[in-house]
Amino acid sequence: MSETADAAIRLAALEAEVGRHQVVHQRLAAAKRLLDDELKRFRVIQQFVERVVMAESIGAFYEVTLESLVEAFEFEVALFLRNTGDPDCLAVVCCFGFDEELTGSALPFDAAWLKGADSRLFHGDDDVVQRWAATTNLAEVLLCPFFDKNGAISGVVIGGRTKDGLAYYDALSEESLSSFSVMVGQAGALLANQELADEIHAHNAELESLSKSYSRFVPFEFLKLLGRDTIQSVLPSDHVSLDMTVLYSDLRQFTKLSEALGAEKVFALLNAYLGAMEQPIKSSNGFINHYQGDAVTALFPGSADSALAAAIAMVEALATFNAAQTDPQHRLRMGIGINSGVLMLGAVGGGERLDSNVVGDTVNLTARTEGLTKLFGATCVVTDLTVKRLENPGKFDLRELDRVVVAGRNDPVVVYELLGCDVSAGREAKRASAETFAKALDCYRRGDFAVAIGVFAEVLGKNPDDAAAKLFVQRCAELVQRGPGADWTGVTVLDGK
Amino acid sequence: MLQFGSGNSSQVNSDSAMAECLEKATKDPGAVSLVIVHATVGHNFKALLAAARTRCPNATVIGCTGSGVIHSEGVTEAMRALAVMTIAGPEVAVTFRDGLNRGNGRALAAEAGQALKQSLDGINMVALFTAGFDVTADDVIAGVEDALGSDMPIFGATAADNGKAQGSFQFYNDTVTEHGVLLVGFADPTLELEWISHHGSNPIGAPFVVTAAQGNHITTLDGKPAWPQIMERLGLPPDTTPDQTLPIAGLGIELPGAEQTEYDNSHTMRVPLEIDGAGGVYLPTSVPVGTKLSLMQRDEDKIFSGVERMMDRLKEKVAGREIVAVFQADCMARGRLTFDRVLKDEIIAKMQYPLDGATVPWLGVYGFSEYCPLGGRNQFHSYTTSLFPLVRRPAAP
Repeated sequence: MSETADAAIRLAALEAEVGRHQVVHQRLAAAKRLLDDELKRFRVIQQFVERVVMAESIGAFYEVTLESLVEAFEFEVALFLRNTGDPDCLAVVCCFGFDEELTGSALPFDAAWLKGADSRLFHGDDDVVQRWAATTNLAEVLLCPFFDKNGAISGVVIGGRTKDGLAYYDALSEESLSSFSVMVGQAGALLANQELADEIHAHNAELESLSKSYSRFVPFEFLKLLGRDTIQSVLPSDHVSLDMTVLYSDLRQFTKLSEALGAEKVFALLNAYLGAMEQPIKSSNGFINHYQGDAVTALFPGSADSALAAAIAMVEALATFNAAQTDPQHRLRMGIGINSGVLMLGAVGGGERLDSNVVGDTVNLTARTEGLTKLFGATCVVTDLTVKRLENPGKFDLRELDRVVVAGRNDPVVVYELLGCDVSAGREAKRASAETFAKALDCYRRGDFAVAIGVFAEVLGKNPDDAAAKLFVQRCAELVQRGPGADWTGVTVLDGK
Repeated sequence: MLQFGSGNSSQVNSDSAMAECLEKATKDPGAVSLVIVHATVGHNFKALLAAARTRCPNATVIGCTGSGVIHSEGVTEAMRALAVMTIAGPEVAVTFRDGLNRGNGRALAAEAGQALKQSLDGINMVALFTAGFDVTADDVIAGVEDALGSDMPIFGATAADNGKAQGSFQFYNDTVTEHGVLLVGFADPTLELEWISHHGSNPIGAPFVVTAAQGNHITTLDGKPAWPQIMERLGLPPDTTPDQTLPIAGLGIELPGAEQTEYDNSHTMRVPLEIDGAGGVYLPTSVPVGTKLSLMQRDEDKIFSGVERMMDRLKEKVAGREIVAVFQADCMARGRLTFDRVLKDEIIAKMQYPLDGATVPWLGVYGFSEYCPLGGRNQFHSYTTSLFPLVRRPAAP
């Protein structure tokens, strides 16, 4: 063999050796690529839990799960399927990568496809691929089940490639099965938690709704004052003694109006009126404790000033309400009584039927005080028990009306008209004649009735509609005629409501 | 003056991924006039383009696929990877022609080039993106030069898939095609293009000699069917397909001496992507009979040291001027087909660090091949890293 031929043979051998080296190097690169893919998958699995717990809905949970699986395993397509109750069928609740939207469709299912909780790889000849081919165009899939809290099959997740994607996507590998099982298992467990959390949220929402409904009957404020968190915890014996201001309002001549309007219209009118009264009370830091027909009992646990402010706001709200009524019959007038003191607040009733209520002399006197509004022609009458505890008495125009002993009580109480509630044209005149009225009242109490008549007449001269002044002129005239008696104290004893 | 921005996303939902990219790339989507998109083939292209057009209603949206994308945060080569460059300003124009094949490259590119010339005055550089298959790239370059002159620098890439050698896609607004030519003309007088390219492979053994060929179709090497010849040299069976040999079957054509020095490599390379089933092989450029083709072997040391030398030379060329954006065209064989994650990150860092790649808008693609000037003329390459920094011309004193 010539040297040239020998060299050519050796060159060819060397070239072949280098070529093989190239191929080996390429295979080594492929092996490293698999390692990179595995590391990437590990990173995605780590991030999956962080991402999926942020899902705001079950739908978002499905999407994040499928997207994470697609990223981790480089699937072309993925499906999230749930149990429908039919053992032979699964519902597609989320899909990724398909040309058609499959969400909402149903796919046949056979429990024989599963092998415990493990993932399985199915190819074109396998039953699952065959039976799903028409809908999904799948060529091969990884399939893994997940389970509910009771261990029953909750659904399956699949990832795979379609017949169209075979050219671009790598073949699925048995080596992915364990990682796929881990990720789907995590998804299943998180889904069970998520669904449990959703159930809890739904239950809480229902409780909240129920609680709001209850609060229409028993106000939260009432429970708070009773020292209870929920209405369920209220016991028949629950009660508490509290010192607060009570407002009692009542409509004038509502019984007569009811007869004229009929039940249906009365209900509508009454509910509209009571609805209009809620906000003024609420915004003045009070709460409605009780409705009784057209009467409202409201409680003001804080400052007594709040009750007076609420009364003024109620009168303004009523004016607005009346202005909106097209039928003059529907225009209402009300009286308000305000009083302060100790009362008992508690649950009233037997074991089967309870009501929230306040009882006590303070409450009774408040109702009686409201009754005085008719006597004195005032919209709102306030007792001195409230006036004495006003934090800003100068903020309210108050005119002393009388010293009275109401029915059922022994002690007299001084009552005042809250002029801020007088919506008549005579309000300014009452303010202007307040001093004269006080002077006349002083004469009356001292038993100087003739002089008192004259001074009250001065008040009436400025405001002929001043009902209180008229009442005193009438009383003085009677007293002049029959004499006051030796026990005259200037206190009026009332025997009716 | 053109303004550039770039963004990337590894989200698999195409709409969300484009939204993330654009959010990173621009604060004013309405001002964007061009969005260049590089995506991998797992993405839903229609959804990507619709998302870009919805969010940038005044922009033309173009781009192509690759086996991966290169961006300011590094490299992503998943089945669903996305990166974009946004360009705002009037000094840019695009022309697109569909229907490219091996036989019509020059005519179609010339037509596109003429249209580009008519649409914008003062073009001083052209980005070129074409199909990766069924193309004669030297004809495409010649066609663009027919319209815009041979002194017009042309840079860009041919599209690719994920290494399966099955398809390569180009985007133009709502159109997705596998036979497209996209030309982007830049006419900002304050910008200049710099370029550099390197592959780092050495010839091994005696070169093959093309003994029968027409255009880019080589029938025989050394008188024998071409593809089996190459496979035999690699010790692989003749029925091996091109996708199985992408990183190792590169063929080199020896360069003239001066170009070897500039290139820092002795040969320019071609990737054989298609075979004809009868032993013939298609290269992406014309190969006259008599051409010597060397089987090339990657030299990892040369690749890494070559990148360092390349960056030193590029920094000299940039000479301290402001870099406003960087386009990059890398051969897909320089990605995950060859390098593991650590090496790939290292090689990209070696390029990005000297050019402030973390802050400068950066868009690159792993395509099948690259368009980059060399030796004072526009040339076609495979297996290279090709970098194209756009630099701001210094203001006149």
